[in-house]
Amino acid sequence: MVVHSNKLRWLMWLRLRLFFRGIRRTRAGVVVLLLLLFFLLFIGVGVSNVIFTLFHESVTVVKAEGMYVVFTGLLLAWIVLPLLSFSTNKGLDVSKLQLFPLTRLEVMASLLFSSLFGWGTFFLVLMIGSVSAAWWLVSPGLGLMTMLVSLVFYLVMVSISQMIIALLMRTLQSRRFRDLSMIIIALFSSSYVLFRLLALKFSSLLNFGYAMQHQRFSPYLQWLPSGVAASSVRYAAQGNWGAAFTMFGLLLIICGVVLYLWNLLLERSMTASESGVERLRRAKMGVTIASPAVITTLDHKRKATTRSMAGKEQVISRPAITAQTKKTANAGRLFIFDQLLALMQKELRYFWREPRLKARLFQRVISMLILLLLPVLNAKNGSAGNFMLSYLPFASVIVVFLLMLMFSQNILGMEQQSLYTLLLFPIDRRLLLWGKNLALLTLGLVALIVLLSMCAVEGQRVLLLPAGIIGLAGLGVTLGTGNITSTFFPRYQPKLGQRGITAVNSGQVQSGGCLNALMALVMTVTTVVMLVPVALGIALPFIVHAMWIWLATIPFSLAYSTELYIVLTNLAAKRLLATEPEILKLTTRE
Amino acid sequence: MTTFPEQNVLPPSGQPDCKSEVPEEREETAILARDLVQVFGPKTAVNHLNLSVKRGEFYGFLGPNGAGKSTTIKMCTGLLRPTAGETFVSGVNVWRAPLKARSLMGVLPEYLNLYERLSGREYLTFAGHMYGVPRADIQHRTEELLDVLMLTPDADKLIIDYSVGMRKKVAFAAALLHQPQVLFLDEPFEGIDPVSSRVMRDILYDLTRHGTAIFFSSHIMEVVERLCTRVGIINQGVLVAEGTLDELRARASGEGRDETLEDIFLNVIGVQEETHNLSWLD
Repeated sequence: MVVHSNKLRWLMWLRLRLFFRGIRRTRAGVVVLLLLLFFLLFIGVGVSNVIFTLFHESVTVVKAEGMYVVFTGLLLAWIVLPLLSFSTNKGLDVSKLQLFPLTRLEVMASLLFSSLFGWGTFFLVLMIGSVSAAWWLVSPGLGLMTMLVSLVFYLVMVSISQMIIALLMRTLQSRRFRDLSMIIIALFSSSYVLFRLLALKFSSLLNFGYAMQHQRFSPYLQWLPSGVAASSVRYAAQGNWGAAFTMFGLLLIICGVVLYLWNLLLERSMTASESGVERLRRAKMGVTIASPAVITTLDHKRKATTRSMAGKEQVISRPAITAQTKKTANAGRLFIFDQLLALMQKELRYFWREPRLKARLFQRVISMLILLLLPVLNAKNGSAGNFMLSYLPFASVIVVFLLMLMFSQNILGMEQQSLYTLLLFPIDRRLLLWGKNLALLTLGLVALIVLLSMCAVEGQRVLLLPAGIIGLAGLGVTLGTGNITSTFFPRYQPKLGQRGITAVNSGQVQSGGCLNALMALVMTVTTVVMLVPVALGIALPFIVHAMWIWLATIPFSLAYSTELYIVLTNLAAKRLLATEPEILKLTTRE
Repeated sequence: MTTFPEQNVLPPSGQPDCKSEVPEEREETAILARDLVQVFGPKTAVNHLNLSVKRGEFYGFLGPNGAGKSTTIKMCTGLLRPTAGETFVSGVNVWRAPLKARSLMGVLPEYLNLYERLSGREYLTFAGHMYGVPRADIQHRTEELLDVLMLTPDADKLIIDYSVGMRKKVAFAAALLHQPQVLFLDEPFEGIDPVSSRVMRDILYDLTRHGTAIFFSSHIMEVVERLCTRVGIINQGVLVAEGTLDELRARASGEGRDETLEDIFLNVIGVQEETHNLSWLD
């Protein structure tokens, strides 16, 4: 297989160009990128400092054991993360390069370049740099050896990662996997507290420090490629350079084998882009096209369909729609119910089927659980914990309020491109907003009932009624103000997985600008302010120690929120109808 | 520019007798665009465009890429506010009574923007409800449309898993589910297989016979030539020619040639008949 240096140069140029072109696309993108770079640099320097200090202050045995853990951790991360980010990282997908007459080695080189110009490499370089620096201070030779081993290990790591991608290409390209990966990434990002708890538990269970000192990891990890690399450094640290270079040689052999296997699997993956189902469908289509009988049958069916749609009594001179309009008018309220139900069903289906929404929903549910579990766990810690526990029903309401706030503030933007289709339908805009709100209300009510039931199980039953009323009234106010925010300050909703740097690279940064985001924030505060009468109505009896006041304030709270919802939604519906093209311009990209 | 009130219905293949079935009463205007202007920054995408399409008329809207076809359709359907001008659908001002206007029209836009996480059947049912079609009719029409457009085997698959052609067929079915008075179709045959294309053409033709006006944008000259009763050609936002095919041909035949629509089109938009040979192919 030949490798053309000229093509390699242009493949490198392509990756660099794509990387920097994305950054330079918008002015806002550059600002966001600079902020992100600053943040990443801050985190990176912090992490490398911690690693350097840990390595520097440890004895040689622990340092050597640490190499096994660090290399294996990197290997695992390099295998798992590209799999999860496959749907958003176009550099990992070779299908675009298939158009060109590139040899497999050239494609492999392109994939290597794409992994080189990634943010992961930034952290990798910092980590390896810190470890090498720590060894350098022991002996410069050890520092050099670590760098040399790390370089080859990087090649092994990327090759293994790419080999697995090539092996799983068909699965990775499937829609179901893309959906799943989006949800997993979202769950990872929102479960930080849970992971931290688990990691601490796991660490204390393993007695990590003790295990490091007594080299409990290396006997198992030494069989992995990362273990071979770490062994090479360990032998060098022990002064056994012969063994160190033997292990290094073994690492080179592993590198060669992995590269060869990757080369073989890449060929397979490049021809696997068309799934079996798609081939079957196409084959089925082919049979249909080939059969003249099908055309005749379709012709009959088509004539019957058009006749049936036009109606038997259809007179050409009369508009076809007239009969239907009459029917529509007669059916009246039944249609409204049907339309509301159809809209609500569509919304709920989307919450379940759209990974972007599902991931957000799961994120909120996890946050809710964490928020609610913390007071329960802290209840054992004295009076402060008990105080938090006694107000758990109100905490539950706040959690539901936050959930609703997130989903209700940009209901039109969340439609993304489909908003074009939705606004083409001649449905009353109030009904449209009601249908969307009904779906959210269903979610909110389910969350409220589940959380309050949990409170009841915890024994906090006294406050259940006021908390429930506040919750209900709060839902009304939140949905009403959400409708106003969605129609007066609509925003473009970037796709999940296109946030942060990827959003900057793909030019998907909110073009509504900071002003729109600020106005949305103002509306959130306004929502909270509008909730004050409801909260006061419930809190007043506590303040004046006269619970009978609830007899007046509870109906007032509910009436207030209902009235507010109706007024705000009517206002939002009028606004929507009057400014549909402008809303489309702000919330969609064509 | 020539405008021609008379129509010359050109039937699709295999239906030569359709002209006699065209009624006399359909003189009323289905689509009316009055002095439409659309300015994007320094560029005038549509420049004082006037057009009118009558009921039962199959109007072909042609133009090179970026000529303003999709922009015009967006302005006519209420998705893009014109810088100036007005649009009417069956006498209803699209911008003053948008919901009423939309209940009279079906749209197959350039970018389909379907609800991809619904199945084909679910989407059509949803669209039917949104158009206010009675429940029983929705079910009946959905099944028939799925059947005729050969989507029944995949009707319960999510639209996101559909091919481009299947998506277009679903969008097409949704656009005519409520049997609109006016249909706006932006490149409806792109990505469609020949059998479905034939079925779609025949459905459209049948609809025009029942009084539906079709505003049809396409690059496929053969389809436009075969289906359209009148053709408008837009170039750089200006309607540069309009008329029946015969009239456009008659205008072009002044040069003594039997012009095809493609010839007329190239001539009207000012493309010189030069051979563009690539120097490095020699």
